[in-house]
Amino acid sequence: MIWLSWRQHRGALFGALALLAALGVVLMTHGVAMHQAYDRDGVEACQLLMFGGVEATTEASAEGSCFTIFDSFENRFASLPTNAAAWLPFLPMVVGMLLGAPLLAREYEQGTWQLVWTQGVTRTRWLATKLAAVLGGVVTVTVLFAAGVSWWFEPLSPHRFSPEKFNHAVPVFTGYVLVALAIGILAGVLLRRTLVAAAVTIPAYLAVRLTTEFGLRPRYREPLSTTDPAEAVGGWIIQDVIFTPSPDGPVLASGTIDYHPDDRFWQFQAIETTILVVLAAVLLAIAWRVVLGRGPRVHDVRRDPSVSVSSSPLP
Amino acid sequence: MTSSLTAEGLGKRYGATWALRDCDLQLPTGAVIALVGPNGAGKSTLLQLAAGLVRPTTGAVRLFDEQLPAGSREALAQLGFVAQDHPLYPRFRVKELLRMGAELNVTWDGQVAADRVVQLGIPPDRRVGALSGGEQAQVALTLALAKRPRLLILDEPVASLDPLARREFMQMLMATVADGNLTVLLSSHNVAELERVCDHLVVIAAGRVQLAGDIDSLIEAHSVLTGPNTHVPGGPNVIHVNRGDRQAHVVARTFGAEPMPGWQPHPVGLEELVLAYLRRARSDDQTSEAGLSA
Amino acid sequence: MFVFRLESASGVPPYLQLVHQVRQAVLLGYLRTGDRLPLIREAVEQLAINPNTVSKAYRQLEQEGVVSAKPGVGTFIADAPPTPIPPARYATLRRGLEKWLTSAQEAGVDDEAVAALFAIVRREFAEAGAA
Repeated sequence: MIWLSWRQHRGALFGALALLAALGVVLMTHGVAMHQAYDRDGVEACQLLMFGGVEATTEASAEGSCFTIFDSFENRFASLPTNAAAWLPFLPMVVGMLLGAPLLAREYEQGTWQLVWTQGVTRTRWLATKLAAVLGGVVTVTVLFAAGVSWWFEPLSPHRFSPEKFNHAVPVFTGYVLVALAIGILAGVLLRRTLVAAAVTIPAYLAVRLTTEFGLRPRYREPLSTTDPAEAVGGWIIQDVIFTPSPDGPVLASGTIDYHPDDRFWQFQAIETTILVVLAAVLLAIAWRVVLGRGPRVHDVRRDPSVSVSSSPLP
Repeated sequence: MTSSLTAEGLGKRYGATWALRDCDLQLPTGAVIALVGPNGAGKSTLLQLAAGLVRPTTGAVRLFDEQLPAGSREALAQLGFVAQDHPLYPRFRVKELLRMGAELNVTWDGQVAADRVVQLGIPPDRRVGALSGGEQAQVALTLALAKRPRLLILDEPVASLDPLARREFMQMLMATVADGNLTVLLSSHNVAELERVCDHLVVIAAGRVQLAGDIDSLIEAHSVLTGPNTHVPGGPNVIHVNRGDRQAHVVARTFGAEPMPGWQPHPVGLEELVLAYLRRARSDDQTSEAGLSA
Repeated sequence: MFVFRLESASGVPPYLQLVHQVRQAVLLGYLRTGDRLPLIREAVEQLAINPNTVSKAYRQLEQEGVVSAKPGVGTFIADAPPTPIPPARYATLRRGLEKWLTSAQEAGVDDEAVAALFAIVRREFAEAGAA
């Protein structure tokens, strides 16, 4: 059974390994250089300055020289990861379309469900093994991928709540991949056509993604309010604010700043990941029930008193 | 009597349509059983129910004297199934398909399967999608037989094959039957070619079993009676009447008894018998539909 | 090995076709005493027919005394078959016989009467020849 899962999905596995290898190459060439420049030139302090509201450190006190350092850093390194960060949110969707949708739909389309479910293993065992193998492989590759991307994106922004950093931290990124995969699998089970299921995965995934990232994420906890921009430094400001310059630094023009402080990062990661994993589990449970619900009730052997019970245990 | 398959009140509904209904059957062991009927009559549904691929809406189907529930692991271990159009994984090489069989089945005669593939002239390294239709059908049959099943179910196994491929398929199948311990249940909508191969018959039309039994007994129990158009007998033993201007041919259950005076009996051929029951089923269907819409 | 053939649409049941072919081959000398008929499995593979058909044919041939079955070894042509008839003569004799049977049928004589008539005439013929 393990061999069969491997043989059927080795294409996907090779694709995933190729992706990891490509990422590795990028990290070694671009990422290492970027990190070195970041540490060496003291870019972090300048970022904090440029992103507003903090006292400059001694290494880059003059605003002018900070601008040069920051600008030079951006020009040299920022374009590749920023472009990647724009496309990476769609990567989970691609996993759902290429791996999730065909998983069961292709068996129905090719008619091989009639072949593989009349061999010696029950449908239950077949499905459990296949899902375990696919989920195990996907999670492993995704965790490695997200770890690499997170490291790569570290110098991009000083704030952990920035989209590049929050979306690609290991827990949340894995959560989105699992959800997209579950959507693809369920669509394949219900629609029994690979292409249609893949197409349906797109709007379903986008709906989940947009709702979670922009609708739910700011609301996991009550934001804090302040009028002092210095307090909100490093945190996630969740509304547009207008600053006016002043001799002591930027000052709030009107209203209060609502923000989530930086130390809420891991809590928010946990909440969002839990939402995504639970949603994925629910979708997979539905798919499971549908696949097995169409099949025979295999526990009748025990219940029927006229049948002699075999010595081998039921799966 | 030993039985290979028992169906009681078996029925399957898809949405509002009954694909199979009120099916009561008991099939013997060691026979080659023909399942005959027009397209859409319920043949595939019955076979899929027997293999445990779909869940019945009503009733149950059990295999062998042990009455194993269809689809249970015990039943699957002794059942070989080849679906319509012999589905296989097209990107798998033939030897990988055999490996799949070995992995998924407890009883597996891998050596015989591999030998058979070679004997058929099929290269084990070739991808299944690159094989001809006849070769694919042979591979599917090899897979099913390598389990050493007690019951082999084939859904229209030769429908898409050319005459030579068809003959070779049947040769291999019959040789395996000759080796013993195998019951074959095969469906087809072509009666003529089943005649040389089958010794038991089930006729299905409009989702219902119309006729079932040992072929020799059925032929003996029926006759074609030829007689005057004006005095055609009726009753439940009259299956179908074919009226000419002055003469009528009646297919009837006569049980070897003497016919009425004025009526010439002739032995009935298998195809003629099946057609008579199919025609009766069709006119019954039309009558009941007319009754419903009236 | 003896080779069977089967005509699907002939109206004659398959097992009877096999019986006729063996009888005819013995008459024409293609099968001689001690020749082994194909094993059931061999015949089945040749013709793609049900094994029961072959065993039924062999059983009938055994009942008629044309063959004798040795379990585990095979089915063999029995001792003392009738002298072979040359094919041309066989065809003529057969046609003559069929004509006679047709006129008997047209006269309304049933199978039993035909067999009885033949037995009587043959006995008288033999007695006349011996005398």
